[in-house]
Amino acid sequence: MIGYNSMDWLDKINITILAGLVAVTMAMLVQHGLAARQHGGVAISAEKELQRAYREQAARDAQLFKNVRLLREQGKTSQALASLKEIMKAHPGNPHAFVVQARLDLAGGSLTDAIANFRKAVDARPEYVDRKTPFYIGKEIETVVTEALEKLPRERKLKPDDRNIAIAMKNVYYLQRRLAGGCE
Amino acid sequence: MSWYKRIDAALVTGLLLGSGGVLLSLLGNPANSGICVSCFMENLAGALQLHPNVRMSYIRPELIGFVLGSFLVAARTRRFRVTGGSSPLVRFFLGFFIILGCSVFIGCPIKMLQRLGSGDLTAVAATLGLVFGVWLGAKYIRKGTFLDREKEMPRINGYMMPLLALLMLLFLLMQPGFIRLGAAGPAAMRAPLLVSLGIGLVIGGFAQRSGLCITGGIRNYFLVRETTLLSGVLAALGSAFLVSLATGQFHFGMNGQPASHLNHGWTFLAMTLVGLASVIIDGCPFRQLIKAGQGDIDAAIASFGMLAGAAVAISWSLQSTSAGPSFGGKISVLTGLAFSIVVVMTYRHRTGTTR
Repeated sequence: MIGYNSMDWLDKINITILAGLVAVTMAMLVQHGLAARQHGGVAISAEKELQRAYREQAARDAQLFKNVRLLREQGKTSQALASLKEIMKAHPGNPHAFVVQARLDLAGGSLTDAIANFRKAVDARPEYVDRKTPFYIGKEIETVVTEALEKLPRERKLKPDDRNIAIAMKNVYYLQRRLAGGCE
Repeated sequence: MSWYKRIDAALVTGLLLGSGGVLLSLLGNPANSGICVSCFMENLAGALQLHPNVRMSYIRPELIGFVLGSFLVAARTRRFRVTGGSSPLVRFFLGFFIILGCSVFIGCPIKMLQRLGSGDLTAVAATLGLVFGVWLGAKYIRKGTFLDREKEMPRINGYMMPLLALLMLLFLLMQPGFIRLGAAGPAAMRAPLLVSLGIGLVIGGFAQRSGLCITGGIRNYFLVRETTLLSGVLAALGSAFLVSLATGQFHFGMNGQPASHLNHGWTFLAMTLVGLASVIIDGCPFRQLIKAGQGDIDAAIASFGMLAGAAVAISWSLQSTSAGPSFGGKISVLTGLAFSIVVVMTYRHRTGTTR
């Protein structure tokens, strides 16, 4: 390191400019940080905003599919299915339709179809297996997966050539991996 | 350093890596992904908005800790040596392809050990692939393949990576608008910041001291039957197993494992690429970060290649999911293997003594 006294004029100008640049940058950063804090913090508000959007979407989904749910709870599965199809036509691409369809499949006794629809739901909206969002239905899927893991291997032994059971087993293992979490 | 001190340092680093990874998962990091350099690089790329997936966007304090821990120990023990200039672009692209290979397996060699230690049998194919890749690399070294020698460089080059790590820490703490941190998905799975940073610093410091490297340990065994670093690798595996068992994170089997898939052939090939490319650039992804912290500019260039690979892996959907590897991921593994073979052929010194 060279001492200040042994610096030539160019070194001294450089040091002065450097000190000025550092001071201005720090002042701007501090001012920006204070302003962000006054507005509740940029990142914190972004996170809150996202959670609010999630809650709003979940509420919209619940409202949209309310009639289907009520019909299913009354045991009117075929009417519920017809209502769901109408909604899917009017609102294509809503991932919650797969969840509603899976619940109807379960009510109708079709475990393999339910599993397939839960898989589609998780693929379309990974938040269904994310505990930190209001969409989380991991426990519900886990219950279905556990039931499938008990039933499907038995059915596979009885019908080893049944492709549908093989596909359903793949879907079950897929959902199991998604439920286990991890960096995905 | 005498051999018994080195074996102690390697063992301690291995124990810290294995147990630290499992503990970080327990404290909030994604399951079986307490420490994963490739996943963390993908998170960092997302936080810097180099890819669009907000669920994979976070500045992992562990990465910062590895670089700063290594720098601090190297500076304190006078092992901070600034070198570089050895085939920088080749190293950049090998680092790039290493992360693409990792993203097809879903994890770096450290995560592979953690997954294996936690009972995930899908990591067996990865282990076989990595060992095969390192074995291939060792064979090429014996046949005369090595990158050109590095040179001493001005010290300011060596300070760049520690300063960048500090800048990332500042970004993480101040969270300016251009930094994007995910509030859902893997990005939201985080151990407490200070714990992550602390574990990263300690592991970074010990790794600098010991030189522990997952692929380096296996390579040394194949080349000269030297087991110092290998003992650290086995310690990482053993401690991951014991801590997983003790903390209820051990789940033995092939199915239901977090962030895994059942395409064992592609897992094997992907980790073969990681093993081979790591031997050529002298270190696994973790080792590249440690070396970058102690002033190795070549390792810093490889680390930037890793960051670019992480960004591309997510942006182009090359990474595997629980459903398996994507078509693009398979092509990237094959391209990476082809590139690695071109490199080993090009750098083979055929004249003079045959190694």
